[in-house]
Amino acid sequence: MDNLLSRTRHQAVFVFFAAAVVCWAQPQINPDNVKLTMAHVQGSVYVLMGDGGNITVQVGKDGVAMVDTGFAPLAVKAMAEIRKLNTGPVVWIVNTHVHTDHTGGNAEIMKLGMTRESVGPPRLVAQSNVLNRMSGPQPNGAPPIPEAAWPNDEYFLPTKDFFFNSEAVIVYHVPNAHTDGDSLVFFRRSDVLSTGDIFTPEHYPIIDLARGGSVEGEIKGLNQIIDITVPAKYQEGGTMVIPGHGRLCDEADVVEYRNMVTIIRDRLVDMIHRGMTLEQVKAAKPTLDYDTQYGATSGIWTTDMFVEAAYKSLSTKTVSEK
Amino acid sequence: MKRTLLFLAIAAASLLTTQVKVYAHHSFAATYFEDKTITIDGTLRQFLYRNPHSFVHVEAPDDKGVMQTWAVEWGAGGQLSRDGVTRESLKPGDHVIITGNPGRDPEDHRIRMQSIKRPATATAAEFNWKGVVR
Amino acid sequence: MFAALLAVPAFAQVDFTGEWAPLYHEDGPERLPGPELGDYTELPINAAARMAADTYDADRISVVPEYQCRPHGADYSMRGLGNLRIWQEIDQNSQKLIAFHTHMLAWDSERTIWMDGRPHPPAYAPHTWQGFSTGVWDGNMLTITTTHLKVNYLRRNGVPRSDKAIFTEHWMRHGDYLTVVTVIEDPVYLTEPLVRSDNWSLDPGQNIGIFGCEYAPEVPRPEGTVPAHLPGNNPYLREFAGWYGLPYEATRGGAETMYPEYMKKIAGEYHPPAKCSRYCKCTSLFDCNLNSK
Repeated sequence: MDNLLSRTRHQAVFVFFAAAVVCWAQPQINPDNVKLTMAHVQGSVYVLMGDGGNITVQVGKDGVAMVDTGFAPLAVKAMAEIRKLNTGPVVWIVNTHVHTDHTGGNAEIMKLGMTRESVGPPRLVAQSNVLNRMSGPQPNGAPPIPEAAWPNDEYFLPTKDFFFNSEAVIVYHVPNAHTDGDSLVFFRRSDVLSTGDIFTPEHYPIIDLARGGSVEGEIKGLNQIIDITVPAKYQEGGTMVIPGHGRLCDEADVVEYRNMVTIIRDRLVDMIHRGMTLEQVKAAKPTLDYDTQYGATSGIWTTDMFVEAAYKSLSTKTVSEK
Repeated sequence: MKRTLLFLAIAAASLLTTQVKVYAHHSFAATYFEDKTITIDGTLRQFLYRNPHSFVHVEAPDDKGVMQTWAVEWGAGGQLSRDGVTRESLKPGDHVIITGNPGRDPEDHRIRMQSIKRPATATAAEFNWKGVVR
Repeated sequence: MFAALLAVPAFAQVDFTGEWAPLYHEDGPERLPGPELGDYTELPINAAARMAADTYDADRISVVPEYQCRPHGADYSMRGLGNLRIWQEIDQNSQKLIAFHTHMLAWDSERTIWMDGRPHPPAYAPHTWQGFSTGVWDGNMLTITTTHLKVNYLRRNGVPRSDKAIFTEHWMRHGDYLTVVTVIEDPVYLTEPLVRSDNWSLDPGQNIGIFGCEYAPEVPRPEGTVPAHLPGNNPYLREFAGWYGLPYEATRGGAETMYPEYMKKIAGEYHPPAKCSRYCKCTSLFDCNLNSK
């Protein structure tokens, strides 16, 4: 019963934040009503949960590195939690993708993260498509994003890396997965991988077609995560995985999620080849066996919306294959 | 006398149960047609002696004469070891004749071993194994 | 000091210490060689679980490399799939029981059952194959609650068990026998709790040894392949009903099939074969095969 209530609570939180993401707006949040939880993952890496997407925090003698910055209204509260771990400057921030539940706190954290030891503002790393989308006209008539929130260290090659707090940090671009600007961030010595919203174990993946997302890219991204992760023993532990939302995971958890997306993809490809319309596909319930684990019937990202996005994503590819 | 008999009874029971090393990795009925058999005659390409299941990969023609690579599931290392089968028992290049249950997915060309025979050659003795893969 | 007082270890009321060998007089064919394809009888599964099992291709365990060394979860382990060792951890100062530990042959699985009243981890904590277990005494019976389990299975023909499940066990020792009654509650795949029992006998001479597991290209397929039947395309689902003379609907599982009243309901449609043809004898590993009689 507790697990069911916990899942319902998670879904409510997800719907609230997903609404903000899709509407490209900062939600109205009262920080006093939000509980943030900082948990140690392993090595030098921690995760801050409750502020939009999961925020990865790496701390050490060099200062602080972060993956994502959560929502703007919670930036001060998030920074206060980080300061309980380390009082050094925020030197690196990596945005895993463009959505506001992961980037909303950028401008504020860029300011709050500076200390007397700072030699300059934090390096805000993101794949170049994130900068393109932030700096261009905003969809749905949303106001422009201030330049202070833009990445100042965008990358164009398949990977970018830097050395910080005695470990290599490797950033991998995953093309056209959740969006067209997704990054995975691997803390090599701590053996922790931050995945952004490529991997969200509580819900079907959001395939943001408008921002270059695709089902095939999502599957490639999940396979890339599985290639990077190494379990300690019998498929457990070893590389810890911080998903975009949800609990701490390892490779075995990613494998289950990858299998789900792959199996649903295979079903939809078959249905598309048989000439089924979107309505016919929805009526056939191709995700029934996974709906009780990942699905939703209401809110901003429902099962139907996932099926529709996947159908459209695969239809484009399938037609072009013909 | 009673204590001796009791000791022997316990020892006998222990001997039986220590042989029972079970972990039941997957369901054989779900994976194979247990009521059917297939025989292949070909060349061993790889012998994976391991847990949870050993495998031999064999190049042999299917029933249409088309060469396939067959994946033949065998016992765990422990089971084979008890049967006197070691990593050295078979080598890539050996001519083997295998009988077993065919897998349910025909694309995988998969067999659950029931027997394997390597006829004697000038350089290798005859090898035979017959049993139940657990 | 205050925290130490909160965690109060128990005195052991029954000692489960020992080497235990599984007994297979219950559900032998399912637990040993494995369940028949399409057999969902006596499982209180919902439509989601049924579809997952219907579309399951058993080759997945070979083709997905990460499944080859995937252990049984704590719940499936207790189906007796592996020789078991249990021992106690005693606090040196108070001589009170802090925990029971279990070790099982299969995948060298080890579990700690905390007896000191500590709470379960928060929801965001990682899940493991053995989960997080705490135990309390109910007279001489030990009741164990396990959470934080990874995704696993209820039956090895594709019937899944989610990571939201709560696993409860009741351990009862009577002389040299251990009876374990298990209850699985899974809000994702079950409509009611699944209750099963397994028995073990004390085996002082048991030598468990090391399991070990190595990934290998068992059945080579392109990377990322996940074998599955398309919905409605599994041609084997009616085999089980035919072999055992059961009405097909009975094999589809559901809570109703757990109860003795269901046998009366299908009495007119159940036509067992005149002669047993499959798994006719199954009391141990050595006699539980398709054609054993």
